[in-house]
Amino acid sequence: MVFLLNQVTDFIDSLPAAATAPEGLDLAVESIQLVIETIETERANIEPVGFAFEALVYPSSFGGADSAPNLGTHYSRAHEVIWKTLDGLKKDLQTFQEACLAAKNEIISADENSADRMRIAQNAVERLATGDASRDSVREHREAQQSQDVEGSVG
Amino acid sequence: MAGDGIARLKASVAGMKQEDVERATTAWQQTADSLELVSLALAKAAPAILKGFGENTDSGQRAKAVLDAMLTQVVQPRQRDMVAGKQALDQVRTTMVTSRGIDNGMPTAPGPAPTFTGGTGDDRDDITRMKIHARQTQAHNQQVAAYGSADERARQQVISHNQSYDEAARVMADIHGEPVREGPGKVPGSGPGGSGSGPGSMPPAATVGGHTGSPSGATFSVPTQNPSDNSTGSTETDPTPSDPTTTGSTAVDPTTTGSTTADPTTGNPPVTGSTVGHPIGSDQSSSGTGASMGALGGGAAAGALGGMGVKGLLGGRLGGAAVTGTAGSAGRPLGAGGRAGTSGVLGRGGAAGQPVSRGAGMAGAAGRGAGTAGGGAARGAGAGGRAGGTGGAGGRAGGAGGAGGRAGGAGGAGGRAGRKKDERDPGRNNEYDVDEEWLDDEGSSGVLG
Repeated sequence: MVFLLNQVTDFIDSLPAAATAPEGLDLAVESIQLVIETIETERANIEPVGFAFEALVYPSSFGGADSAPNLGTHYSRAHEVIWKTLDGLKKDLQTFQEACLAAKNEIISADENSADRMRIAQNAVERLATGDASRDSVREHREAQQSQDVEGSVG
Repeated sequence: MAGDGIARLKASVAGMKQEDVERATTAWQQTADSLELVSLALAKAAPAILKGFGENTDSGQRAKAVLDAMLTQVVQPRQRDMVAGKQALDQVRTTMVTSRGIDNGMPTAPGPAPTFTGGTGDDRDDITRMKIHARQTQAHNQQVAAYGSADERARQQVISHNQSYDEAARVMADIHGEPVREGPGKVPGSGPGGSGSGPGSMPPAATVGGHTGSPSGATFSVPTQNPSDNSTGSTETDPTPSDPTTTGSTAVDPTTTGSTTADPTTGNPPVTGSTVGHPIGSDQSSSGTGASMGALGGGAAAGALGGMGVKGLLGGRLGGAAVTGTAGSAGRPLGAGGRAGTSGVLGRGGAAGQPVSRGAGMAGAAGRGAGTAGGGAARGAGAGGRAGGTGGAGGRAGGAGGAGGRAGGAGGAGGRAGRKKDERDPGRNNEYDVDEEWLDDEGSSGVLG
C-alpha cells in the first residue's frame, strides 16, 4: 500500500464534518517518538558499505566440495543484492523517520484549545503518509536483482 | 574402493575459510538485528498510534495503515532476507566444522600387506617367521578394516556436506531472486567420480584474457566509494589485504583470473586433485592436497588390494599371498592416478577451465584422464569459451579413464552432458569421437589449445 499525498488530501476532504474527535493525541506523539528514536539508532547500524565488505565471501572460501562453486555463485549474488538494497532501505527509514517527526510536530504545535482536533490528526496522518510513500528499498532491491540476472547470464 | 570417500572429503575441506563465513554471518546477523528492532518499534507503535488518533476514526486507521505498510512492505522483507541468509551461513559453518573435524580424524592409509619372505616352514626359524608374519597380517587387517570404516564415514559426510551447501545455495537464490539451475550433470555427493556441479549446474563461464573463467560466471561487486552509486557495482576492492585475488581496479574471482600455470601460493603447477580451480590462498597445508590425494588414493588402492592379499595369505598359501600382495602394490599407481585425477577434473577442473598440469597427467595411467580434461577445457576456451567444450572435456576424460575402471565410469557420466552439447554441432562428433587414444598419446593441450 502506497499513500500518495493527493490521495490523503482527497481522504481529508471527504471526511464527514461530524466525525468523532480523536482522543489521546499525546499517546500518538509518544508512539511516533518511539519509532523515531528506534529508527535513529538502528539506521546507524545499517551500513551498506560495511555489510558489503564484512559479508564478502569468495567462492573459494567454501572449499573444494562439488557443491561449493554453486553455493559461492548464489551467495555472491545474494550478497550484492542485499548491500545494494540496504542503501535504499536506509533512505526509506530516514524518510519515514522525518515523516514521523513532522507528524509529531504537527500535533504538538497545534493549538490545544483548537476545536478542530480532527484537522490536526488529518495533517499528522498526511505527514506520515508522505514518509510511507518512499520505496527506495523496494526499487533498489528490484534493480539489484535485475542487474544480477544480467551479470549472471553473461557468458 | 576404500580411500575414495576420504579423498573426496579431503578435497571438500581443502581451501575452506571458516573465518570468512563467520565474519559474514556476523554481518548478516547485525543487520537482521537492527531491522528486527525497527520492526518491533513499528509493530508496537501502530496500535498505540491508532488508539491515539482514535480507533474509530479514519485518521487512526490511516495512520496505522501507514505504519503497517512500512513494516510489511519495507522492513520485514529485508529482515527476512537477512535472517534467512544468516541461518544459511550458520548451516554452512556447521557443515565446515563437521567436515573438517571428520577429516582431521581420518586414519592414514594402511600400507601394503606384509609379505612373507621365509621358506616353507620346514625348520624352526621358518615357523617363527610365519608366526611373526601372521601377527603382522592381523594388525594390517585391522588397519584396513578401520580405514574402510573411516572411508564410509567420510563418504557419508561428503554427501551431507554437499546437501548442506545446496540448501544454503537455494536460500541465497531466493534472496537474489534467481532460481538455482540444476544441470543434468549435477549429482552432488554421489559416485566416486566427482560428477559434481561443475559443468552441469553452472552458468556459462566467462572468458577473461583468453582463459575460461570462473565456472560460476559470477562477478564480485562491493562498493568502493558511494554504495548508492551503482556505477561502482562492478568494481571490487578486496577488504582482505592478504587475499591475493585483487588485481587492479576490476577484481575478479580468484578462480577467474588465477594463473593457469601456477599455484598462487606456492608457484607450483595446479594439482590434479579436486582443488583445481580453487586457489587455496594462504592455506599452505591445503595447497598440496591435490597431490596428496593422489598419494592417498594410491595408498587406498594399495591398502584395499593389499587387504585382498592378506586374505589370500590367511587362506594358507604363503606363496600365493606374496603374489597377491605384489599385485596390490602394483595396482597403486593406477588406482592413485585414476581417483585423484578423475575426481578433480570432472568436479571442477574442467569446469573451471584451468588446464590441468600435464605433468600430473603423466603420473599414472588414469591420471592421463586429468591431462586430457584439462586440454579439453583449454580447447573449449580457444574455441570461444563454449560451455559445450567444457562438457566435452568431461566426456573425453571419462573415455580416457575408462581403462581405469570406476574412475572411467564416473568420467563417462560427466561426458554425457558434453555429448549433448556436441550434438548441436554435427561436425564435432566426427571430429572428436575418434580422438580418445590420440589425445592420450599426443597430449591434448598442445594440440587443441
